[in-house]
Amino acid sequence: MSILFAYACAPGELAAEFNLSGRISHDSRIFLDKGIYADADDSSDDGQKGEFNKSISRMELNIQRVDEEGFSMFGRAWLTYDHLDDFYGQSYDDSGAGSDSDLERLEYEKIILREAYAAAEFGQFEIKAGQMILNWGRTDEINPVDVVNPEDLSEFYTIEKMERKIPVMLFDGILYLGDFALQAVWIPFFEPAVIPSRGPWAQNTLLEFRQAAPDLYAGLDFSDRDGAGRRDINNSETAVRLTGILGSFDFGLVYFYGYNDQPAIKIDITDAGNPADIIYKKYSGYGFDFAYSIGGYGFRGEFFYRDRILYTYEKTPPPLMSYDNYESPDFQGIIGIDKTYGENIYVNIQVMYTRILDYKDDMLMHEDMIMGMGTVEDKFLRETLTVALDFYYGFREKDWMLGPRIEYALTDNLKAKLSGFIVDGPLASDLGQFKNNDMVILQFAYNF
Amino acid sequence: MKKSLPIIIIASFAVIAIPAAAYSEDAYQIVMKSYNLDQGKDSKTDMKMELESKGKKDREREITTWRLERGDEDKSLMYFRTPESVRGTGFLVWEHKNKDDDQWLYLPAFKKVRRISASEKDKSFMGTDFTYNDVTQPHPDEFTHKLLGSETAEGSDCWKIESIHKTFTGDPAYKDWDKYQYSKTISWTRKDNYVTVKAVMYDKKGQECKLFRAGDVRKVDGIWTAHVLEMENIKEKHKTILTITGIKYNTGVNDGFFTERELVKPR
Repeated sequence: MSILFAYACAPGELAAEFNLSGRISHDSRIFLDKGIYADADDSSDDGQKGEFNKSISRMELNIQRVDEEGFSMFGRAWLTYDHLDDFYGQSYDDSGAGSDSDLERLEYEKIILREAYAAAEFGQFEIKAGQMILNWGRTDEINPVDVVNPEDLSEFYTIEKMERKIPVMLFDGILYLGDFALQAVWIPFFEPAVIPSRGPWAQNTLLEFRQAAPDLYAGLDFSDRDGAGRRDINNSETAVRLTGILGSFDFGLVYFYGYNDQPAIKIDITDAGNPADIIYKKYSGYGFDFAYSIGGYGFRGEFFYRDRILYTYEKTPPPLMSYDNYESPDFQGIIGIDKTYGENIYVNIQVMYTRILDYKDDMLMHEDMIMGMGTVEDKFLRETLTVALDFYYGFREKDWMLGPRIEYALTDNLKAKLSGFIVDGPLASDLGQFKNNDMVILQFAYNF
Repeated sequence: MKKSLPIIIIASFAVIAIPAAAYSEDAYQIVMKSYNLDQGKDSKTDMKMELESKGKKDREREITTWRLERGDEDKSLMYFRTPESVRGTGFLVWEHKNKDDDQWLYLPAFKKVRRISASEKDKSFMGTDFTYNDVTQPHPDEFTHKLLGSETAEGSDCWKIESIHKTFTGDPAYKDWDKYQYSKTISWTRKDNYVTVKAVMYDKKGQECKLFRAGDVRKVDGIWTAHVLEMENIKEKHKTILTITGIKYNTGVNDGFFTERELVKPR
C-alpha cells in the first residue's frame, strides 16, 4: 500500500516525503555433519550421506512516511533468492513438497511483503492497521508472552527471531496514560507457525511418523492451513496488553484468546475417512512480564499460563498405531539476569521452566522441563568487533547447543558475521535431535 | 544544571561535592556555578558525532536529543538519525538524585524497548569515546573536589579543579558501590562564564586515559553553549567529536514526551 502511494508521487516529492532504506544480505550456511538420519539405522531412507549447503541472498526494502499530524505509513518487503545445493535426499522447499533423489539443486526466488501498515495518533490514542510484526516480552530470545506473531521454524533457531516471525494482518489500538499503556490487538485471520515436515530441521516425531506410515504422512499437508480456519473471521484472535512503569520496575500483563500456532496431530488408521489430521486449538492465555534493575544487575522475567493445550499420547501402538490428544493447561516461565563486567563483557543467564499442569503418564511430552540459556559477549575496537557465545542446556535430557559468533562492522553500514551451530544430546531430546546438523553460517549485510 | 547532551558532558567533568574545608568550599562554589548555569528548562539539539582513529575519520553519526529539567528527576531522549544501520535507535534516561538512573534502549530491528542496568554506564556509548556516564550526569554529591589554581585553557582564563569520586575516597556511604570509571578528573572551568572547556580523566590505576575539550563557546538564546565537544581516548589515540548543528532552548517539551511511546516512534 505504501509503495503504491509512493509511486503516485513525483520523484522529488517522494524523496521529500518518504524515507527509503534497505538492506542487502547474503547468508551462506554449510552443514558440517551428515544430516538428521546419520545415526538412524535405516539406510533405505534419505539424507544419510551428504552435506547440505544453503545460501540466502536478500534485499530488504523499507519505505516510511511520518507527518507532523501523527499519521505514518510503513512498508517492508523482502526479495529473496534461496539456493540449496548438494543435499542428498529430500528436496526441501517452502511449499513442503518433497521428492527422494540422490542430489537436488534447488533455486527459487520469493518476494515477501513483510510489513505494510498505516498508523494514526489521536491525542493519547494510537491505532495501526495492516500487516505487522509485534515483539512482546522482556526476556531474551524466548518470550512466552510474545503471542501475536507465529514463527517460521524452517531453519529452527539458526535465523534471528525477528526474521523467523511471520507477519500477520492485525488491528492494533494503544491508549497511553502517562507511564502506562493499554494495547488491544485483533487478528482477523489466524496464521499458524511453519513447522518443517521435511528436510534437516523436521522434528524427530514427524520423521518417525513418516518412516512408520509414509502413506498417512503424505496425506498431511502442513502447508494447507485453511483447515485451521485461517480465512474464517470467526476464528480470529484477540490480545490485550497493559504495560507500565512503577519506579524502577517495568511490567506487562497479557491476555490472549486465540490458537496455539503449533499444531497437534491426530492419527487413527481405522478411520478411513480421516486417518490423519492436523489440529489447531484455541486457548486463553494469561501472562506477566517484568524488568527491573538494581545495583548494576538487570532482572527480567516472563510467565504465561494457557488454559487448554493439546498434548499427544500414543493411543494404540504400531502396527495399528493411533495417536490422540489430551487437553491440559500448561505453564511456561522464564527468568533472567544480566550484567556488564568491565568495559564490555556482557553476561546474560536465563532459566526457563515449562510444565504440563494436568499431566498424564502416556503423554509423549515430559511433564516438565528446565532449560538454561545465556550469552557471554565482549566487544572490541569501538564496538565494531563482537565476539560472543550463546548457549542452551536442557537439564532433563542433558542436550545442549553452543552458538559461537564473531561480528565485525567493516564500515558504519557493512557488517560481516561468522557464526556456528553446535548441538549434542540424545536423539530423542529437543536439541539432540539436531545433533547432526552442526553448521557454520557466514553472513554479510549492507544497510543503505 | 543539565540540559542537552553536550551540556551534560560538560557538567560531568565539572563534578562537584560537598566540601569539608574552606579551601574546598571555593572549589565547590565554582563548580556549583558551573553546574547551575542557565541552560533553559528544556532543549532540543541536533548534532553530528564523528569518530576519528589516529587522525582519520572512520565513523559518523547524526543524533537528535531532547532534554527536560525537572529538578530531582531530569529526563533526556536521544534518537539516532544516521547511519542507516542504527537509524531509529533511541535512548531514554530518567536521572534520579538519590538512586540509580532509569535507562531504556530501543533498537528498531528488535522492535523492543530494553531496560539497561546502571552498571552499563561504564560502557562506551554506542561505540564512541563517551561512556554512558559521560552522557548522563552523576550526582554532584558523589564527588569530593579541590581547587588546584588558575590556568589558561582553550584560550581562556580558567579555574583548575580536581574531582574525585567518593568510591575512591573511602567514604563509608559508598563502600558498596562499584568503583567509578574515573579515579580522578582535572577540569578547567572558564572564569568569565563558568563553562568547563577542558578535562583530563584518569583511569582506575591513576593513569591519564581521556582528554575532553569544549570549543566554539557562544550564546544561543542568551545561554552559553559549547558547539564543538571532543573526547579523546589518549591510550588508543581515538577521538569522538560532537558538533552541534542546531540547538533550541525552552521548546516547551513536557514530561509526557520522555516516555516509551516517544522512544519507539519513527521520525
